[in-house]
Amino acid sequence: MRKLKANGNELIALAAEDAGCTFFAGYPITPSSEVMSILSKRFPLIERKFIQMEDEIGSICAAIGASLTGKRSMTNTSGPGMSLKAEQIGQAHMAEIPLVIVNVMRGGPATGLPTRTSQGDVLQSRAPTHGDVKTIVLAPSTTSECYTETVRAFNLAERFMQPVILLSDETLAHTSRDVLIPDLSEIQKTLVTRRVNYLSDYQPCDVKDDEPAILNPFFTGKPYHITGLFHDKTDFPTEKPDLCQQLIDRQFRKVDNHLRDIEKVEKYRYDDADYLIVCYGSVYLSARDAADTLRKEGLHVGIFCPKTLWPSPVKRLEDASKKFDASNILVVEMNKGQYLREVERAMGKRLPFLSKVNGRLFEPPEIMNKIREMHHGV
Amino acid sequence: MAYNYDSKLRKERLPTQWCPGCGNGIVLNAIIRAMDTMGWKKEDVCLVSGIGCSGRMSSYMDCFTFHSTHGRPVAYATGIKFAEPEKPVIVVSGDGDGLAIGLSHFLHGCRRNIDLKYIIINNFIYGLTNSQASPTTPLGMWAVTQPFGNIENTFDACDLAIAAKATFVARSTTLDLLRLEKVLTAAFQHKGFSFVEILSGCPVNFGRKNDMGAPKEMDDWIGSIGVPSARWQTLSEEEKEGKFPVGILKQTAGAKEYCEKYSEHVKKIREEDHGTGIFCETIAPEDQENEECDSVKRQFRFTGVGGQGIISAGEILCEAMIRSGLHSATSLAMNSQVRGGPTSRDVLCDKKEINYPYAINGEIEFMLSVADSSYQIYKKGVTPGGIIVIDPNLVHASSDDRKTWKILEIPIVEIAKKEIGNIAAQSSIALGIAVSITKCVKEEILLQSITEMVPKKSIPANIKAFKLGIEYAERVLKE
Ligand code: SF4
Repeated sequence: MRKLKANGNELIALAAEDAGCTFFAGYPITPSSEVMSILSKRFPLIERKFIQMEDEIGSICAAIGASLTGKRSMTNTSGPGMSLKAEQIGQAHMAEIPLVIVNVMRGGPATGLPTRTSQGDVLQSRAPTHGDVKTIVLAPSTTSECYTETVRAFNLAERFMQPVILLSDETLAHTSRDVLIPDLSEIQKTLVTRRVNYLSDYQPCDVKDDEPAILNPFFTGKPYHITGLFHDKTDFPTEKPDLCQQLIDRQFRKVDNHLRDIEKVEKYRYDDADYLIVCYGSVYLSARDAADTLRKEGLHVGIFCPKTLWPSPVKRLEDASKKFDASNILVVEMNKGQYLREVERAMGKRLPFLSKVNGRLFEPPEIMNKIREMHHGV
Repeated sequence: MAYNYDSKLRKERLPTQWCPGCGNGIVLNAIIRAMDTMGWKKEDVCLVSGIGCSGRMSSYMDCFTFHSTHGRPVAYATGIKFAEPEKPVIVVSGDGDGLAIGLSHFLHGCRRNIDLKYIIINNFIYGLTNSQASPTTPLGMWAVTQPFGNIENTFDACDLAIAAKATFVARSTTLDLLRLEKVLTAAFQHKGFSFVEILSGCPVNFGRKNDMGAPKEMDDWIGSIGVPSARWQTLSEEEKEGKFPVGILKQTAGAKEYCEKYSEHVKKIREEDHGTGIFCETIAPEDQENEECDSVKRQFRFTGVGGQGIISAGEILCEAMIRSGLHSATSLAMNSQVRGGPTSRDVLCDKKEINYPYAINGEIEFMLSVADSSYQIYKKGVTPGGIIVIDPNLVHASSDDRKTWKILEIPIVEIAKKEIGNIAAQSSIALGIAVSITKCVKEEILLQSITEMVPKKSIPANIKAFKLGIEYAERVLKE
């Protein structure tokens, strides 16, 4: 393990480097800009590619373009930039091009609260573009997870040939602290390599009905075509009803049939808990302090913290729902209930909710008071 | 002998879906001929297209092809080219794709001088979507969205490219096959952003609806609007109206291409001394205190206005705490509305791992402030009876404040100016004061962090400032 003093943005940049990202294209936006400014210095020094594009759209396009040549590629942004990138996110889903998109969340909508924290982009990240896409969205909940989840994002993008969104937030981005992260050699052992097919009958989408397309890096093997239109297994456009249906079905199935490789949940002091906090992202930090302190008061509080937000951990939420009464589960979010509805859907019941949208992280006592209220039946 | 296009066409995709008489097929053939002249192999070439009738170009050309999104092919191609600078990358747009929705990427591509072969097939209309006006639809002409005749002024794509500093700019019509092939070959030979506008007929969705019913009439019009650049010079302004010079309009030899520039830049900076560019310090793993121990959380705050060095003091203190084997976290609160607005940096340390990273209001034991605006906002975070160090020249503490907290006055900024001769030294003075009063870390460890984190040339000044801070703090504590 390596011990560092670092903030979340620094760790995302370091993780990109360690995960073998060799191409970065971005556009400045608070509070994610440091990822970019760090890589603008580091990448040229280690002979990798860094480019600041003319706008948010240009930056995701360039990153996708580089990915077509087989490079692990990343772009970063925050809320308004995410909205601007929307169409191209769909393009990468449709054409099955891997990419890591970092969204360091700030208060929204609109220009919002540029320097303050938020979890307001959770629903957007589930459906960031028009049409039906099955997104994979990871949310680090500690500073050191900004490192490990970024590495995981690269691996999932390469494995499932689609964009993976890393949802960090301003609190994680701008808090420096001591962190322990795995050694580079450990990370390198886990890296997933993109599949290729150099056989003479190669067709990009000629794959099993729950597997991603195989896109050989451009300029290797037989030339082929990629499109954002509905396409058949040759990757040329089609409007045949059965082929159109099969395409989107496959793009959903490649994720749905491999949930075990994608889902990730941390359960903290869960087994003996009477009360359960469901939260993610930096809210987890407040929730841990709240849970630890309440235990000293004799209240057994545990935490259910998904690190993969989408697809949501439906099965595990169902299990939690059997273990805890609805009145003993508290969902805590820095938005108006964007994940609450999903948790309620999975659990099949309405749940107590604690919300905050003023750009400030919950202080632990705010969560503690709510649990005490639930305990006393207020 | 007839020219054989087969080796670079996807024959199974033919015939094309373009209308009879469409100029796009002529462009497709011309691109293939120019590629052949260059000796480019299809395995080495990438063609990116946008959306519109011209977007189909990528389906028919047999090389690595990407049918991208509306207006963005230059941006996608920039990524491909920058990732694989040795490979030729051709980009094809229409006038809507390249001059309306995608104009910005076009201009920035020119400015950057990245080696893309950018072709805009200008047919003066949105053909695919049935005749909406584009930025090149001539004044007075009919379009489905300008049904009474177009009233909008037009863009000249080549003028734009020249203004945006493209290093190769040329134009041809689809009627002038020799010139078309010649300018494309020249564009392919040029190293740098190479722009070619091709004036092309859309008989079905432009010509027919503008009194040019037959493809022949459309062609005649296209043929009539391109004037070879030598003759163009002799035309009067009136005669130039509605016409375009054709030929190579600009070619700058020797301008550095973007990817080449980048790799030379990389080579140069790697030979110079810029350190590693590594951005977070690795700290030798020491035995951390036992996680099972009780929390002994301590909370500190440094406040000033944005840009004051005082804020960096917190970063250094955090580092020193970690070096001492403590857990530490530091966060910055700032206002997005004002540059130079009130700013506050909190530093926490604990023997146990820290989760919630901010100081809790009312629990801060020590605050230091060098700006009144931030003092007034952030003082409430200090626990009653806690210590607040203020710069009395800059911060005003009321008599109530003095009852609530132990207020110590040290003229930090004046000391930095007069005794160090460097205003930036105030952060090290602040650290001297903080460590002397709170004893939160060992002085030697903090000094080590200072020497590692401040710019090399200012190390001596910062050491002096740190010691002065300790002296002043000891003096006020005695009083
Ligand atoms: S609509 Fe016009 S541009 Fe499009 S294929 Fe037909 S003739 Fe060509």
